[in-house]
Amino acid sequence: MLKRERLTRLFTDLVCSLYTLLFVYAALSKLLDYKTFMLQLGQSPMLSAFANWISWLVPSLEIVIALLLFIPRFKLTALFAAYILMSMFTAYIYILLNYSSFVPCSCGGILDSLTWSQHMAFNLAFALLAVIAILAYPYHNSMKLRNYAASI
Amino acid sequence: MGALGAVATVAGLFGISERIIHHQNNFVRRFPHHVAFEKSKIDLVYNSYYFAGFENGKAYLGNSTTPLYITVVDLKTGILKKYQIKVDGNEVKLKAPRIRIRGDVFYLYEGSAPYIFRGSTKDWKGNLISNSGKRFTILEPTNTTNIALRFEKSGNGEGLLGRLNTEKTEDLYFAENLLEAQFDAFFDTDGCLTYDRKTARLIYTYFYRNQFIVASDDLTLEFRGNTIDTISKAQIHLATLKDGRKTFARPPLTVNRITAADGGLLFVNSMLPGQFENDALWKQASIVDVYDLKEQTYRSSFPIYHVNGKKMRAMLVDGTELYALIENQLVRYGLRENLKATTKNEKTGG
Repeated sequence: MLKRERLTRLFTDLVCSLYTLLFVYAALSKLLDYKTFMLQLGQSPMLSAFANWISWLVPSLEIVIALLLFIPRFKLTALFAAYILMSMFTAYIYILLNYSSFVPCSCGGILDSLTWSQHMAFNLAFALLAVIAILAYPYHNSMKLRNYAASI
Repeated sequence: MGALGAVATVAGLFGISERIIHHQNNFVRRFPHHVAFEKSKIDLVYNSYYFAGFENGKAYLGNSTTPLYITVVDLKTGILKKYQIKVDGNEVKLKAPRIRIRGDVFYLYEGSAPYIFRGSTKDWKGNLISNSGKRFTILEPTNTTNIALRFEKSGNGEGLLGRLNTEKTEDLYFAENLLEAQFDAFFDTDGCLTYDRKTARLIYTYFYRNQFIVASDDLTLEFRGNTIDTISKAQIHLATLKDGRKTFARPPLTVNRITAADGGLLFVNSMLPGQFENDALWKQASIVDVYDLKEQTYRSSFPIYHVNGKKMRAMLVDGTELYALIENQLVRYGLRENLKATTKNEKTGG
């Protein structure tokens, strides 16, 4: 195997692992303190009206994506889904900081210590990692890959 | 493409959610940080005061245990001054009079008698202006001449709003269409009346259902608004006593308790927790919801904390100041200039 291919493969796997770690951690911290999470969502200036179903939809999506990242057949799809979810989180923070009537305080766990702008930078970095991983996806060079790459 | 879709989805959700919260709220409160913050407390020693009025930075307090004394609190200095009210004649028996003040005019009244005295706050001498007619339970001055009253209809005791010119007492008007009975007219039309002097609007808020009525100072209906809870029908269960009187079979579900209005904003102390709310907060504080009467929307909510475990008894708003009577204290809260304004780039622990 070429050295370069080994490197990209390593990189993709690393990104997948990072996402899995992040999503599992995020989902668990939400679900373990579900009531607090729900209260915080209810206080979110953007999504309060949908707090009920978002409070279980988001952690479920995070867990499903984390699982799919480890099934070779779905790896690429899961990477793309992770990228979309991360973009949505980023958009959420961007709109929150620029358009909402007030800025709440809610992010569990270690992310609690980040400011909202640091949080956004963190999300953007993760989204970027996913983009690179998709573009450099080493496992097979199919239609699917091209479609995903085109729709980033 | 994918990123655009993600942004568009979140932006769409944001737009729809905002619409739902402010216009057709599904009983989700907003608690933005630092909307209201306690500034100071004035010790009044007694816990039997009520607000009789607010003029030029001074709060006028009546006291239900010494009903003919008025206490004037200078809110800048915190200095208290006491005056005794003198009324003419002995033809009226005073039992439990109440006092209301607007401008330099005070009204001393007892709606169950009914009588009304009127006088100047310069000498605190009251002249009898009315000593007969329908019984009433609320008196709210709209200016130094006119007062709004809530009468009790004879018979079923249904509430009825009216207006009286105190300089020409034959000039009495009943606004028959404002209060609406649901089933038991006496209890379910009960509520509180407050006056917004900056917009010259009277607001009547029902105790037992999620509705308030906004009317001009001559009692012309402007609109009926809803508070954000879901109780559209009063939940009152009555029992009839042997002597025919009615009483509550079980405690009624109070929706709204205390109101204040200022500059087109209505402040309502609600008794009902909404969705996704912190139970602990409700044990420590009275929750005040703010409504924008111009836009006819719900804005946000904030807590007024108990003092020694006691709830707020009364509140009054003037611009960016809120005054609350709690236990034996006059508590002063600052309100953010625009209750909707942002607290950008600010983050406290979640």
